[in-house]
Amino acid sequence: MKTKSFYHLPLSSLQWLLTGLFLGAIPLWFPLKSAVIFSFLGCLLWRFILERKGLKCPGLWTRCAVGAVGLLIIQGLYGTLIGLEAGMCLLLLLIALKVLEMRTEREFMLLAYLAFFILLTSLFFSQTLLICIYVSAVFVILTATVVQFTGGAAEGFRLRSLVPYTLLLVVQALPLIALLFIFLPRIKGGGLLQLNKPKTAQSGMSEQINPGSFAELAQNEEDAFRVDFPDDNMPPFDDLYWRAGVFAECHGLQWRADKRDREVMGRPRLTGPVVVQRISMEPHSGGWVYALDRPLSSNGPVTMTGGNVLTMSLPMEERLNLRVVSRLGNDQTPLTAAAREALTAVPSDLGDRTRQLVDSWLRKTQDPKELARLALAMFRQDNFRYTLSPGVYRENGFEEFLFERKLGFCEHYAAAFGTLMRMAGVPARMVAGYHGGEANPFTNYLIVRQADAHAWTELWIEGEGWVRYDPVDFINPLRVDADTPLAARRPANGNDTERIRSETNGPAFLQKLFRGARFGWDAVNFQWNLHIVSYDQASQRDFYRTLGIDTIFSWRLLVILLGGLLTVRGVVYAFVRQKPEKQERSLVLYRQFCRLLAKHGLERMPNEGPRDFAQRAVEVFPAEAARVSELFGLFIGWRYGRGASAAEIAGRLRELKRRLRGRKRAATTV
Amino acid sequence: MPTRHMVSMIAVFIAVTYAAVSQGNGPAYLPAYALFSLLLVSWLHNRANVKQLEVTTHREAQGFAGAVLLVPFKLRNKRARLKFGLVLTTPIGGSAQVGRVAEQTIEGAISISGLKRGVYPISRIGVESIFPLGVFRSRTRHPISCLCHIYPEPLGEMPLPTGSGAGKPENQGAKTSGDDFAGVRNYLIGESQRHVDWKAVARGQPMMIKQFESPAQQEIWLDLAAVKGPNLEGQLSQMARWIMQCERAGLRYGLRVGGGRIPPGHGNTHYHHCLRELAGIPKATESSAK
Repeated sequence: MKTKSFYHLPLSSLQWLLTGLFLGAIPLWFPLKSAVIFSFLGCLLWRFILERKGLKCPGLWTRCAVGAVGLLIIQGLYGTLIGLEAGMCLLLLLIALKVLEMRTEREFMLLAYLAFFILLTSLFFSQTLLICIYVSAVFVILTATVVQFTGGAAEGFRLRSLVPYTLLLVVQALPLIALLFIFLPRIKGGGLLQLNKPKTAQSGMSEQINPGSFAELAQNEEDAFRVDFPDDNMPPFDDLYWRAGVFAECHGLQWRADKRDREVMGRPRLTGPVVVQRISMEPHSGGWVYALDRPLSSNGPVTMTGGNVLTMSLPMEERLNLRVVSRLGNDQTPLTAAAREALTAVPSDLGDRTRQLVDSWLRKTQDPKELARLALAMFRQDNFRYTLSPGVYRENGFEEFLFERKLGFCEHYAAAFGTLMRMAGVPARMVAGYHGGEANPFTNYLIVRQADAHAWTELWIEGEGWVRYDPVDFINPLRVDADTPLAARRPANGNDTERIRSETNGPAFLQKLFRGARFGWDAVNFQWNLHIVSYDQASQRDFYRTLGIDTIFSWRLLVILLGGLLTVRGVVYAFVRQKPEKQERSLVLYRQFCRLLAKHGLERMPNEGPRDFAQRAVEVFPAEAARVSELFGLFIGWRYGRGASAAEIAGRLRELKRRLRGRKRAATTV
Repeated sequence: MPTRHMVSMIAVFIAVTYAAVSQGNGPAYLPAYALFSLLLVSWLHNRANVKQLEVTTHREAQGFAGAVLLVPFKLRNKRARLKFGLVLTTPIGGSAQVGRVAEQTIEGAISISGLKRGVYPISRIGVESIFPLGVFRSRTRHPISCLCHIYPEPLGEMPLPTGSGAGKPENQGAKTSGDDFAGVRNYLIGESQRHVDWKAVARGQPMMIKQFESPAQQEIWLDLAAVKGPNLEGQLSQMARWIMQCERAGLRYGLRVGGGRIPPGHGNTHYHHCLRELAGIPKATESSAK
């Protein structure tokens, strides 16, 4: 039977729905053109005003006109009506038209669920914590909309009872959401529908290192990656070298990552303590994977290439979470003759002064470590200055840097040092990456920013393998500019685990508060990315394995899912369940009695009292007349507080039941 | 039991699941899980919403064919938990909406329209609800016993069968003139308000018309056999109209229907007694009943 229910749309419900649609469409502002969102919100407002003033909805022709204008707008903005974004716009247009004509309960509910849909689509464009919190909040509002409407609108709900009730519903659903999120096996379905994500900021390391490229990064406060140490063995600050790329083709001050270097550098043979890191990388275009020097292995779409470098095997479209194992020691991979030759190659046009300098060193010693010491001593003693703005060097600015201006940033020193060492016959390469990071005091992890970008040099030393040399360490601290990361990293008081950035001007406590809030928010975000965003099919399988579940067709998984489902259901049920009213014993027995008689063919009329019913019963069961009428008498007496006990009546009832059954049996046998 | 709104919700669910599977990251799955979990939780709430209720009605209800029949009910919530968005239905159609019931008894009426003349027993009242998400509908049945008398629609142009010319049309308004106070009767919409018992209204009682009678009353016999008409329903309609006219005119009238007869009388009880008698007459044939 079709039930006509609440067919008028109460103003209060309509306000809830329009608010829900409004809030649900707001996150689409970012992926879609704002003109579309404005027009959509305009239609909502239109309907709201009409309703407020008690006016009629626009007629068919007006709606057709609105639809046509909408189509034109979409066609004009996107040049097409198909495709994901135009499709979303079309959906918004249809919703707007529906809003303008909505009159029935069915249309209201349809729009409410469409509102859920457009709200939830915003999660496919962005998964930041902020968006998720917003979507959750609007989700609750939309739930409240439906609850308010189906609950009899204003007649049924006041805000005071609606809000707690909706929250109760949602809170009761939460454990189930968690259960499904953690345990329900995910399906791999890549490529079904790829949303065009807006291109994210993609600064970072590039394929070649030019003078000045790092100074640019040093001004960039964007996050490069975050990292935490699950084994709680964060290395000391001075060991926090994050390796990104290796450059083995020397051009003086400019080094390039030659494709050949991946062949000349063999398989790594690493030493030193093992450190496991969880790295959450912001999207960047370089293809590098940042990891603690030197990475050994990693999960995810990552391959190990020569020079202990991890590179991404897929283009990086979104934040990538990896678990990387590194060893802090040297790389003792033996060097082939060909590799040694390639790694000592220098350009021929470097100049005579350099040649003379290196020759003067070579006359003193042939030992690579001693040679390195001599070169670094020169950086320290020879009035070299560490600065973010060294100015522009000429095409072959190597000698200009080394002998004239002596101004440079980390890449100048690393490049120059590497080149000098190569000229001295020591295999050298330049490494780009990051150094240090900012520890978050709330939970123990590091934020590494683009400003922490750094370059250093590696020398191959017989018997020790590849050894890291950071030339900027040897610059006289008095000649380090105050605005450089190096100056911040090594403050005068020696506290080098925390870098103080002054981003706000104001009272100290405000700065502290601001810093605290920033760190707190960052910590929550990091955990969100680490545990929620990165919880994909692969991490789910990893998690299953820790529980001893090897395949998704495991009975253990089934037990967990079903058990969890039933538990949640049980808890919710226990909450909504209402104990039935305890019925009076006399009534229970009387109902039994009536059922018994009904079974034997005598149905009590709905409006029949016991006296009238008794009369009929006696006529229908003449053989049992005495018993039946006595029982009726007892019931009536008992109801008014007189006569027999419940046990006695129950006994009589049983006796009658037996006799009637006997009679029936006799009747059927005859 | 799922409602048609379930289709919308399932469609949204499928769409977000599809998108989640193709996206593959964690939060993309949350919408699908949230909708599904909410669905399950709402199912339990939906069922609880119609439980622990008690519906009672009067034993009888009456109305004219062609008009709306109101079946008054009392709905009691036996538990402290609020119930929302209830719809009461009867097997013979009609519905009433109750927005909210706390632990209390509320009164209302189920309006049923489109019923033909006759007697309709209502043996149960259904209480249903699609609360809270509109995707499930739960129903509980409450046995009651209510006999609904649908009187014939008062129609017909035949004059009152009076021997002495009483009950002129001008006199029809109401027998409010006379000497002796003869009680009150329901105020009928459209009537003159001159004789409304305003004192009673001020006490919060419904509007009643004070009636006065002259001692000398005529007796009119309304005989079904005397009514000419194409079919039984038409004849009964004429009878109903006469009864109404007599009652309004303050005349004493009796009824002769087939074998049965109701001795002349007057007043609200008599009026309904007569009309009920007409309602209870079996339909002539299926075709004439239509």
